[in-house]
Amino acid sequence: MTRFRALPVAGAALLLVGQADVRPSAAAAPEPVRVRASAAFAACLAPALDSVARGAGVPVVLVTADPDPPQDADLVIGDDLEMTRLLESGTAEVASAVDLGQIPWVTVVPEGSPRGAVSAFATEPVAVLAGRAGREARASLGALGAGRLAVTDDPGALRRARYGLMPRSLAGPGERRASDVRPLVATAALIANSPRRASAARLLARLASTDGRRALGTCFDPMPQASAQASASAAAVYAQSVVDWWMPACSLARNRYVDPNEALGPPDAINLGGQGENYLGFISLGQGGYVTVDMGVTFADANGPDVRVYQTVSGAGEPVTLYASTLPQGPFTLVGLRVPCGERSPGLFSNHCDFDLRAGGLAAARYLKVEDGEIFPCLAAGSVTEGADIDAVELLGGRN
Amino acid sequence: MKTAPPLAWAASRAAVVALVAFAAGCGGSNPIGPMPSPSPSPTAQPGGPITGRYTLSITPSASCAMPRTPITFLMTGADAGVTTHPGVQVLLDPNGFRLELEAVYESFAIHGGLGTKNDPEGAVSEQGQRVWIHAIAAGPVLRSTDSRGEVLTGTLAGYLALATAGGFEGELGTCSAPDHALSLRTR
Repeated sequence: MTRFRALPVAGAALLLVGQADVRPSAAAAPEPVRVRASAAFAACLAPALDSVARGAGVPVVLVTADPDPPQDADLVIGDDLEMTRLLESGTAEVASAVDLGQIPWVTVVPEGSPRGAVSAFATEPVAVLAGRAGREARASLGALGAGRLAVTDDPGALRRARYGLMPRSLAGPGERRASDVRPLVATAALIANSPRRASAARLLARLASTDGRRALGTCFDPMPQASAQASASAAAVYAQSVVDWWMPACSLARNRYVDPNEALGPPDAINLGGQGENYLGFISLGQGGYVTVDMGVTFADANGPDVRVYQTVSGAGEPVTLYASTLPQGPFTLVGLRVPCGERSPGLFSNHCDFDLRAGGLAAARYLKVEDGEIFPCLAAGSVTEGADIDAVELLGGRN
Repeated sequence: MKTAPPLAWAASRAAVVALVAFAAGCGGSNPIGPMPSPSPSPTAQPGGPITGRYTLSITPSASCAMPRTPITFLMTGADAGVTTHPGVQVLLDPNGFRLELEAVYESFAIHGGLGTKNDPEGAVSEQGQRVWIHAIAAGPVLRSTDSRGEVLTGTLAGYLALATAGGFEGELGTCSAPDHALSLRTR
């Protein structure tokens, strides 16, 4: 029931042999649902999709390529970094987005290689995944200069590499070592206005079902059970007031959600659904915009993270930069630079990211400047929610 | 806690937009007032409007495994009006949407986001490299010899990736650092 197709475009190098078995019949067979998934996920989906598609009664064509742009896809599956703009622009439906699981990154080295960073001992270029999904991995290999990196979108080349940093699903033989790079999260979403939406929705429901997850389970790890439930206790401390904010005139003219007061209080962003991008409860910061909030109390650096920022809309992790100060007018000290803000928050529409004052060398703070870290050109904007979308700012501990 | 109802925030947004229009009508928003006539000065004074043609130069941080050769772009700057703070917009010339700086400009300094699109093309430098940037540009503004403002000793904090023309993002290196060097010089 599943056919596989490779696209002749950059980034679509995984050639999956067609195994079409959509049988012609007198009755009009349903048109196949086009699923478009990036290489790391397609390697997992390919073996499982056939049984899932049969269960859903939906013929499927799987295309291995960056999900953005979706071309003729009905259902897209990609990591946060690949899905953000699809979801934010409304090209894919936020309300339909489902996390199917995650795939950790592994460092592949020859058996018996020395311990430590692969950059210290690799005797040939280190293979790493190309494209948006590979950005954080490539950045983690920043110690490797040109000529010592082999950036590729060819799954075969990744599997053959003696030294490499790749999603586990694309790793070949050799010793696999755990990596600190954020795991890829497989988020699936329906393309808005797809002509095969009903079939695609049926397929997605099947993928997300217990049976579907079981079929995928050998390749995807389950999503972690985050301890991120927003605190409902009276002792919880959220941002109390806005001290300052700014967004470029360009972003202010294009974004729809521009009230800085929406960053105050507990996380409460919601998706109203319907056509277009209908939400409540956050501020979209635009290109490099910021909001500075007063937490109402001076808080000390404690063990572990001190501040949680709730970031929303896309089901993805637009980065956030955080600065802190004990005074409303600053000076503000950098605490975290462009931290991906996509940790899932169970029970909430928003995701989150955490910050530790210690990272900025601060012992205490009261005022927090939350700045967009996506930094996408305003003039190229494709949505009314450009920039990091700030729902709430919470103190995690160390109050005094 | 989130007390502003939709109508209230819509109204506040309208007020800010009106403020932008008002500021624009008043002759711009740079904190240093209208552009004075050129008067070369032996010692650079702070300020000056960021307007007209510029060369943006980025030197990767010493912590990056990248050549520390400056990466340059021809840009055009303009007053971007006042929202809650005065702003400037500096765009790649031409194709401004491929590399855009939106920054607060006040107290004789800029601070804002410099970014490229997330597509495989990035922005092409004067050296012919493809460059991807998502970073915060900051630095003091000094009057140049033609009295416009320029940044000679700025910093760029964030993501920088390089590739050959037609190459994959990052094939010539990727580096996230808080201390790339940046300048924005008049031309």
